[in-house]
Amino acid sequence: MEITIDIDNPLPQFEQLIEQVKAAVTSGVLKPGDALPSIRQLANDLDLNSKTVAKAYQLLTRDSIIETKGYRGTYVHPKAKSNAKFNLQEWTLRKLGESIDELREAGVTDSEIRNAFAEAINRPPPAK
Amino acid sequence: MLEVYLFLAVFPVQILAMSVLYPARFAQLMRTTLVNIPAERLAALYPEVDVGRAHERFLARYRVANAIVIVLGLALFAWFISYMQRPAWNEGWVRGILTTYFMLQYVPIAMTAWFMKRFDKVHKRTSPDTKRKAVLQRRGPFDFVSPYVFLLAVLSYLLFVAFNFYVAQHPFLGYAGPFVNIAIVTLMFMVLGGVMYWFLYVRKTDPLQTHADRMGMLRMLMNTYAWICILIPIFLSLGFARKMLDMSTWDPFAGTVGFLFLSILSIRSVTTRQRQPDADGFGSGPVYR
Repeated sequence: MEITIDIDNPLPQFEQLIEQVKAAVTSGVLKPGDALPSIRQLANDLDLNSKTVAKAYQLLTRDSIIETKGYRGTYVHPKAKSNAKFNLQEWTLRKLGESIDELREAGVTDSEIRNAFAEAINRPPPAK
Repeated sequence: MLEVYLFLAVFPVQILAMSVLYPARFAQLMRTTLVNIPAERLAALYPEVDVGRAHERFLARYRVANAIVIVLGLALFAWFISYMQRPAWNEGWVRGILTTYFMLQYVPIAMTAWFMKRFDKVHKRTSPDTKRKAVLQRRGPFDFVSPYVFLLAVLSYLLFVAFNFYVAQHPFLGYAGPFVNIAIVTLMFMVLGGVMYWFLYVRKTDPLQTHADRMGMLRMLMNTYAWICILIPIFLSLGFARKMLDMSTWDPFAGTVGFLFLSILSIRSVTTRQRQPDADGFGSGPVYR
């Protein structure tokens, strides 16, 4: 499967990469368990900085589209197809929207919500 | 005397391979490479230059450089005929001259490689293509080198180690000891392995190179280096065996055979690197946008 990065495209290069991998998974070109190239190989082949490819791989791993098996390399996740259909951005917006609606109903003003959001996002994550 | 006649028979073949056949194949490869570059691209890169004529001029110079090397080789051949008829000819001398001549045979190629590298650099910098393509397929050494060739290289190394311990029981004058020789060959293997790994992941320099071309080039380079790994311990072991059996007069013949092997590997490398359209399945899949 061929992947194309357009350097004139306003969409960031790592996002172009993510979109194309997701499209390949959804269409069945990439199947669960398929091996993916290493970060270094893909970065050199696409003439990109390896940090760009690493970021794309990191986000795809977070979304369970791909998985890293140590020194053996990176593979397509067993549940990649269903995970690729899930839109994390949309889900985050919906959840935030629901919380904002609830706060507005309780009489909290928008500036108070903004301040509280900034404070909450800067708070360190709870220890696991 | 047999070794002298064998050497005199092999030396002209080596000249023919490295200074006639190899340059001919290389020139053919250069012509094919140039044909693949769009004319308008060349006109934009080199305005007011007749690229076709400049290319022919370059090839003519390349032919002259090789002709000089051939004449020098034939002069050496004539000298070897008279020198090696003498009863006290020195094999060390002949071996030194042969090695120097073999390195000289690579000078026109090194000049051309340098020229092509510069050309690719200019070509890449001014590339109007904003799209970069790659195939989402992991590459590994065994995609290019057969496991049997790899096993042969390991076997060749292990036999060299074993043979060195045998030579240590019957050392000859100038033998450095098994550990020094094993360390040298191990270092050579590590360097060659490092170069092979580098080839596997290196950025492509030619912006017009197709995926099929690149894979073909990688296959050729990886196999050439794998065979060099196999040949190094064999030739070193044969050298030790000649010393042990007091057959040093065979050195020029053995050395020339080694150079002939390297010449054949070089000819293979430019023969299999002929450009082909990207129609072997690689890189012709759908593009996801």
